[in-house]
Amino acid sequence: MTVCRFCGIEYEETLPVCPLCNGEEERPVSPADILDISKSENKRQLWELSMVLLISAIIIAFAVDAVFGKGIKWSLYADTSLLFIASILTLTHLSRNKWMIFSSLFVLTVILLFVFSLLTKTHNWFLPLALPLTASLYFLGLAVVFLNSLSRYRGLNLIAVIFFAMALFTLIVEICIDMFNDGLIKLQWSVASAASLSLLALILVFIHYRLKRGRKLDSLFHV
Amino acid sequence: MILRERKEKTIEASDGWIKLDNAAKIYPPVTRGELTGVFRLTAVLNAPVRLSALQQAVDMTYKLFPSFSVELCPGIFWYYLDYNNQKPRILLDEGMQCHAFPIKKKGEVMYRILARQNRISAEFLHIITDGGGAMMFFKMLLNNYGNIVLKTDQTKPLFPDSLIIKPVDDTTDRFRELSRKKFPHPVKLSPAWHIPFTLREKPRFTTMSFSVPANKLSEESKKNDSTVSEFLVSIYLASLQDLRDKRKRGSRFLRVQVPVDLRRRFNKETVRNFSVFVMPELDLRMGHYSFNEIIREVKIAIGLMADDKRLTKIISRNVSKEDNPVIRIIPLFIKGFFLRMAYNRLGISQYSGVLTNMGRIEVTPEGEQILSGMLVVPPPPHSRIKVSCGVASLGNNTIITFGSVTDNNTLERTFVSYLTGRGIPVKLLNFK
Repeated sequence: MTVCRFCGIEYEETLPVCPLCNGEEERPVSPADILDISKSENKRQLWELSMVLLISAIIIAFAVDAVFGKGIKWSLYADTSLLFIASILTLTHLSRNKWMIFSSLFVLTVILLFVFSLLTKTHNWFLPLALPLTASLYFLGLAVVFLNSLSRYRGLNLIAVIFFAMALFTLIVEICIDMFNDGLIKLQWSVASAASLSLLALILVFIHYRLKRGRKLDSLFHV
Repeated sequence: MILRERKEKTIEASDGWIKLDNAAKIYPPVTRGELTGVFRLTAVLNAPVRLSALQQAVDMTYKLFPSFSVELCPGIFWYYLDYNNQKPRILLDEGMQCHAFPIKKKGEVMYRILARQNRISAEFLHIITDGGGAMMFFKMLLNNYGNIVLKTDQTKPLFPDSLIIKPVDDTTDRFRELSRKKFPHPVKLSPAWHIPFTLREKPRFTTMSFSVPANKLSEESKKNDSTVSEFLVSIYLASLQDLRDKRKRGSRFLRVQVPVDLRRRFNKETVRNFSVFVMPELDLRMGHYSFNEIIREVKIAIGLMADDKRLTKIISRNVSKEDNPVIRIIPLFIKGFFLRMAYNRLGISQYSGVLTNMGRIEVTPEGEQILSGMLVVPPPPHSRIKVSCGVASLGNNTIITFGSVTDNNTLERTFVSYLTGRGIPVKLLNFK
């Protein structure tokens, strides 16, 4: 009998490596690995089922519009939206890189809005409204994720950052709408909502860093 | 490698499906993340584990427990167990203990065998069995292992009470047999105090084991005119009281959940879940309790609650919930939501800690040759409970294991200081 110098069990001398831990050559299978395999199998099955349902829905919408609608009209919107959802699901299924998912989501959203603008035949709203709003939304989302990753204790500070991002977004929304409508910026409602959100965010930051340092979201909200 | 390959179906006798027993029904909806509902039994051997012997022992043992070779399937109204006749995996014991099982994966069973150095462990999901049933399997596994290693025959078992010769065909829900209709239900308890420590970063669950001489522990318990279980539960409550006194906030009720094995009490042999919980309590509205007062409270509470009629009361209440026609016809996904809510609001809120004592495990001289200790790791505690405790004794070695999801180990330290303060030597075995 040989005693494995890695996991400490005895095994037959005839075997080249320890069958329990594979020696140094290969990482042994752990309970966590089996759970991961199960999760990835479930994820794949769910993706396959979703694809079947979405493709069926695309075909049905197209067929119904073609037969009963005297031409392809509304189904173009429905099919574009369904394709967008299918692309997102495929992307999240195939890629594990969150930055890759995030940037691809941005591109897909911009393409979706561009296609909608083409379909509506009034695509003058795409460049002044849809593009800057989508870009700012994704940029703010990215900023929230980045700041969150810097934080050691994620608690009320995370909610505060989200509130700050929302405050900025309301300002951007009003600026874009004003520029689109009149070409002049006259900030009104967004200032009030941004001020309220910022005030709330400041209170949350104060509570997080001065009163309850270290409180985590999961312990705070667990039920 | 050979150990990880799934084996073909080898049990011919078992086919079809079985209902989950009353205690198991709560686990599928509430097990998620690190709340795995998985507990572990570990045997510490006198020599390194011999892998080929362990594999043979597993092959011999799993066939005797066909009700363990099942997978969980969702029905429309309830989950059920489908026989798959698979054997448990044998894995290297590394990473987090009591890790979750892939309950949605087909062809998997809800128990596993783990080995490392001189330790053999078995982990079970509470859906298939409780500590008593798992111990029956584990003793039989060690028996077979010991017979192979010592080259003795089956007539010289390692444990005097572990000989199972033919498969245990166990499809009956014993709770249902004992429940009585129109039996009064236990009174609803007010919420108990919970340890306020912050949770550890994931993976949270770690364990800390202490070795204590069983004879010293027994002597000290006798001095206090109590059993070892009552003595340890009293120490647990005293430790909680010390923590509560320092914090001075929250509920004034301290309760420790203690599982009671119903097999011997009701003289029924089963390998499925067959235990209920009793909860000794300290009501701090009446002021601070001295240790002697705590022991008295615990003795009275366990004595009263472990009465057959009172146990039947608890069982009848549990079964009556399941029998409620409205609950029965609610679809599974809605039922899951309500069961989770009930578990949090009516289950977790009622106790401050858990202590499970597997008792003294008797071994034969052959057993002494092979084994030096046995320990039990309770399932990872809920994030509100934070710490749980498992106790097992083999020979003169009692091993107390704390499972925790918090970095703060004040409760464990206070518990140990109560033991050392009474002259009981305590040795830290591992911290994982």
